[in-house]
Formats: sequence, structure tokens, C-alpha cells
Amino acid sequence: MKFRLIIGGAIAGLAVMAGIAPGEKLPKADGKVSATTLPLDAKTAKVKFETATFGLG
Amino acid sequence: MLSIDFDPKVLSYADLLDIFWSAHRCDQINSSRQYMNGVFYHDESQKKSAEASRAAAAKKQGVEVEEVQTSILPVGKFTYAEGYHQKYYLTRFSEVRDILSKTYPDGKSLADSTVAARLNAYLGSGMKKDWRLFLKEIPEFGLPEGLAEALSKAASGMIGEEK
Repeated sequence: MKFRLIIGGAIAGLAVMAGIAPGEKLPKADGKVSATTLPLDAKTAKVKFETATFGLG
Repeated sequence: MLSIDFDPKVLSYADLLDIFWSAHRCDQINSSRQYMNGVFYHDESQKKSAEASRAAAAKKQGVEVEEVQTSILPVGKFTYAEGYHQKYYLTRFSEVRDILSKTYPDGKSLADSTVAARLNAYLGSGMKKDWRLFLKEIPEFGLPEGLAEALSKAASGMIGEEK
């Protein structure tokens, strides 16, 4: 029984990591900075940033 | 794929393009779309800069422009990766990671945090470090006193090793 539970847990974990099963909901970029708790983050959240996007294999 | 928010008053898009081209072989064929080398431009200005930089990068790497495999494409909707992919180097420093994870429990806010980005860069490997600057920046981060002290001590130790 324990063995089956472990296998079940491992399969579920792999499925979540592969995006087959529902896991962490992944947000889309919305241009808003959501980190403002720490003082430096609160300060930099007010900066008018530009965004650059790259792919590196 | 990585998305970088940068302050154009401090760093230019051209600077980032230089780093991007020098970080890979531009004639390398992408093994799959997931791992493709590419510039994903956000507007016409970025598109022009990326195209202009492609020729310069090819010349620098001794490659004909026609042989360049790196793509230049319009950006789509960027989706954040899972939390465990964010600020990877911090996973080696559980005390730092735990405090940041409590402050920013979701992947997006952790990814958006300047403090997390700087700590990840300073504590990670393979990057040039300015430990004196790090020492100066630590109080600005607003971390709990004990952790700030431990980081300051570690930074001072690194400065001592450099002498």
C-alpha cells in the first residue's frame, strides 16, 4: 500500500511538473510589479522600466 | 526564455543585446522551440536594434549573416515559470530563500522582486561580483537584521579574500 502511495505521489508530481495535471497557476506578464513589500522593491516598483525578452537554449 | 525589466537610464537595450549575442553561438541550430535562441522584440525600435545587432554579432563570431540561426521575432504573451524556477541560485541559501518566499509566496512577486534578483546575482555563480557594492546595498534591502548581518559578514569576508 505504502509503495503504491509513493508511486502515485511520484506520478502526480511528475504530471504537475510536466504541466499535465493542475499545479501552480502560472500568471501572464501584465506590466505590473507585484513585489512591493521590501523597501527597495517598493522604491524600484516606481521606476519606468522597459522590458527585453530573450531565448537562450 | 527570460524577460528582463531594465531601467533605460542605467542600461540600454543595445547593452542587453551585446550580452545576449556574446552568450551563445549565433550559427547554432535550435534543438527545439522550447530552447530556441532568439530575440523577442516588444516594439519596432527593439526590432530595428535587434536586426542591426545581428550583423555585428555574425561578423564578431566569424559567421555569414545568412548562416545565423538565432531568431528575431515579435514577443507573444509572456508566462511566468513556476516558483521553483525563479531565482535559482537562492535555492542554495535556504535562510535567504525562506525569508523571500515568506515575503513573496507566489512565483510572480518573487520574480518581480529587485531584492531577490540582486541577491540571486550576488550569491550565484559565474557572475562578476562587486562585494563592496553589495555591502553598501545590503541595508537598503530591508531584510531581517540577523540575515542582513550574516550577509554583511560574508561580503566582508569576500572583500578580505580579494586583498
